[in-house]
Parts: sequence; structure tokens; C-alpha cells
Amino acid sequence: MTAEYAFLTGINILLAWSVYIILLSGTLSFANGAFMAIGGYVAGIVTVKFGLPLAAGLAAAALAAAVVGLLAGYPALRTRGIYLMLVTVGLAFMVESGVQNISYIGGVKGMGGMQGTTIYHIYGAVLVVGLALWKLTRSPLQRLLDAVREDELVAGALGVNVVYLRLALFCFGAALAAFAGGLYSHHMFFIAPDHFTVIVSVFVVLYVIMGGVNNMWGPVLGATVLTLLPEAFRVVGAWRQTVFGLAIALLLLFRREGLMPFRMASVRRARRS
Amino acid sequence: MSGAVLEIDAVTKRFGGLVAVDALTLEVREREALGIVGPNGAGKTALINIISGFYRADGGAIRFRGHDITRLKLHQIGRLGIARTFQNIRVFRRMTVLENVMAANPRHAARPLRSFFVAGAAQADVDEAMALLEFMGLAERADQLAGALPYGDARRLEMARALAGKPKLLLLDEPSAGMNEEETARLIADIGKCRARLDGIVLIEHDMTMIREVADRVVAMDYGKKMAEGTPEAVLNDPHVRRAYLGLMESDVAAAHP
Repeated sequence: MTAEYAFLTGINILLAWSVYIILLSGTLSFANGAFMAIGGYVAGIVTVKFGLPLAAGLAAAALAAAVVGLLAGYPALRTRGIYLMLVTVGLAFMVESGVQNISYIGGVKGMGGMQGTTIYHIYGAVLVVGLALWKLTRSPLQRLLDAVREDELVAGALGVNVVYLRLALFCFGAALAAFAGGLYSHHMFFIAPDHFTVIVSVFVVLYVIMGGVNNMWGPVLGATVLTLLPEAFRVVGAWRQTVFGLAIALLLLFRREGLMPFRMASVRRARRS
Repeated sequence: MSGAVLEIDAVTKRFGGLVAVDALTLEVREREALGIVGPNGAGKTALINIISGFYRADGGAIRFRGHDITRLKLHQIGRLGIARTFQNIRVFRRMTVLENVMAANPRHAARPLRSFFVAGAAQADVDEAMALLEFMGLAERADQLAGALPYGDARRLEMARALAGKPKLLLLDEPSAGMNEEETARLIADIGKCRARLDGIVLIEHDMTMIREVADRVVAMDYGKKMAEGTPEAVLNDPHVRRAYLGLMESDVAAAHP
């Protein structure tokens, strides 16, 4: 059981980071469960139906989700705030019912035969993405994103093409969620549409909000705590989901900014002698 | 019209039935500080919003150094070299003072994704930003959060951030709003220092002392139209302008001759 939780935690950290990457430009995405589904299925088709290696499947998964992100994001990102969020919710519903109706990938019965993921793949991916995010926090891009989040019009006036930046990050986040979905499907050997319901998207957003949105460690903590917390509540039996929901509500009441709310300055004044 | 930094040609902006800017024509000449005065609602801020790309004009044309910028997007206008400040100061409050200026670095702002591969605290970038902060007298506050700055310093930070993009034209929207006399005097000195770095300034102001001290030429607006244009003295003594500004002018006179 422990290995299973280590695996789920790793997947959920990747998913939380995929939401975090999109949120860096100020967009809250409720579509990442859908991108995960696209990734799970596309990677599965490539390895099972075409017999190609897992790496090819994961690459195809990331690319497919990035393309869907581009097509959905280009019109959506021109709208702002709550409308944009609703477009991502719509996308999540579309993909959920879409995969149920495609018989090529098994419809509601799901699709099996994927294999080959180990825990090392998962945590290797966590390490690589983590290093990239660490590099980001020490680059001018992080400052530009912080500026866009705080006041996108002022950032625009400074010369930042905000729509382009948002679209790029939306595609990166989509690709990462799909990559995680590909790893997930090849670990589970079998996937079905009800693995990727809209509620999955909501949970991933919760990991990020609960962990804290202002630094890369918040989503890690949020994903870890929320993946392991239901297990800790096993003693309350049938009330588990209720207690879990209560824990989330209380945490948001008392730590609205999340568990790790701090933001680190990207640069300090050079102390000159 | 050679020698004009900015040409506004019959520009109109409507909001529903309200005409905020009505076929307005004016120019900012080489190395000039153009003052814009007028009662509240005259369309002064709308004009700055149109020039900087926050609004799009419904009619007319805007040329900046010969480029037609009427239909350009916000970031394209910013990159061409038009910077602005805001009546209600808009610094990035959750970032430090130094970060505010560094975020405006045009090399990175124009190529955000490429800047991922650059070191975030490259010495050249930091030195450049610190030089600007020293220029505006903010170097000591470099590591403070911008949201914690006193009013005058926040205004100076906004100007430093605007200058970081090496603009040719600076649009100042009521910079002295909310300032006392002492702070206004310092602001006048600060704008004076900035002028050497700029080809032109547009200054919206209600403070007549500031207009007289800073502006080379003044345009008075009312109901989106140009009411008068000329030297500060000529415009501020124009009977039409005095009537539009009546309340203000009478109290000024009363304050000066009690």
C-alpha cells in the first residue's frame, strides 16, 4: 500500500505543478484533469495500439495536450477572470463525455494493456520538473509573471505580450498534466473515463490553493497532504469523505493563503563595498 | 509637422453616448513638456489611455515618431517607447522596489519566454536597475516591498519603472495628486531630472504651480475638445479656461490675496 501512495503522491505533485504553471500567469485552470485524460489515452494508444515505446507515448501525450491547450486557449485567453475559468470547466466536461463516447479507446468500459512505469519514472519526472521550476524562480521570467499576475495592464504597458505569455504557459501546463496522465495510465495498466472526472480537476486545483500559490513548494505540500490525508482518516470509516471535506474547509478558513503562502524575492540588492 | 514626437490627429473616443475625446488634435514637439489642464471629466485621462493603448480610438490617428500607432496593442506601444504613470499609483505592491524596476527591463519584457534561460539576478541587470533607483533617490529602499512605500516614494518608483524601459515619451497622469507642497516641489525637481532622458513629456495636472514650472506649452481641454493652447500664462489666463475652472481659480485668487 505504501508504494501505491508514493506513486499517487508523485503523480499528484506533477498535476499540482501543472496547475501552478498555468496559475503563474494568473489563469486558474479546471481543465487539468481533462489534459491528464488526454495524456493517459494518447500515451496508451501509442504504446498499446501501435506498440511504440513509453517515451514515444509520453511525448505524443504532451504534444497532443499542448495542441488542445492551444486550440482551446487561444479564444479563451482573450476573455478574462471568471469567464476564462468557466471555459476551462467547459473543456473538462467536454473531454470527460468525449472519451466516454469513443469506442476506439473502449468508451465507458475503458482501455487496458499499458505497462512499464516504475516509481523511478515518476520521481525522475518530479525531479526534472522541480529543477525547471527552481530555475524559473531565479529567472527574469518569474518577475514578469509576478507582474502579470498583479496588474496585467501595467505589465502590458511595459511591453509584455500578456495573451501570448498566458497561452504559452497554458500549453506548458497542459503538456505536463498529460505527461502525468501518461505515467498514470501506464502504472495503472487500465484507465476508464471515470478516472478523469471533473472532480479530479477540482482536486488538483485544491492541492495548489491549499498548499499556497506563491511559491513552487506550496503545490508539493498541498498535493502530498491531500493525497495522504484520506488515509489518516480511515479510522472514522464511512465518515471519511465528510471529515476530509471539513478539514479542507477549516484549513481555508484559518489559512486562506494556503499552508506555505510566502513569496521569495527573485533578486536582492547587490551589497557594494 | 517635422520635429513632432507625438501627433494626435482628430482623435475621438466614445463610451456609449458619451464623447470622452472629441476630434482632438494636438502635438508634442521635440524635447517639449506639454501640459494638459481641464476640469474633471474633460477627457484628459482618456487621452492618455488612448495614447498608451489602454483604450482604442474610435476615430482619428495617432503618430509617434512617424509610426501610426492608432491600432497597435498595449505591449507594442510600450515597446516603441511610450511609458506612463497612473493617477492612482499602480506599482507592483507585492514585489520589492528593485524587482519593480527590473520587471520593466525591456530586453526581458519583450522576450519573456527566452528570459527563462537568463540568470534572474544578472549583475548588469541589477546594476542598471540600481542606477535608476539611485537616480530617483530610492536606492536605500531597494529591498522593501513596494506596497509598503510612502506615497511620494511610490510615485518616484512608478517613474523609475517607467524610465527603465528607456522610453522616448513619458505620460504623467496627475503625478501631484494627493501631495503636499513640499512633496510637489520635490516632484517638480524629479521631473526636471527625467527630462534629459526623454524626447517629450505629457503632463496632466490640476496643480497650476506645477504646470507653470514644468510645462513649456499647455493645452486646455473641456468636454473632450481643445479649449485653448499656448504658453502656460496665456492658457491659464484665457477667459474660457478661467470660466471652466472658475471655482478653482477663485479659490486660488482668494488664497493668494486674503
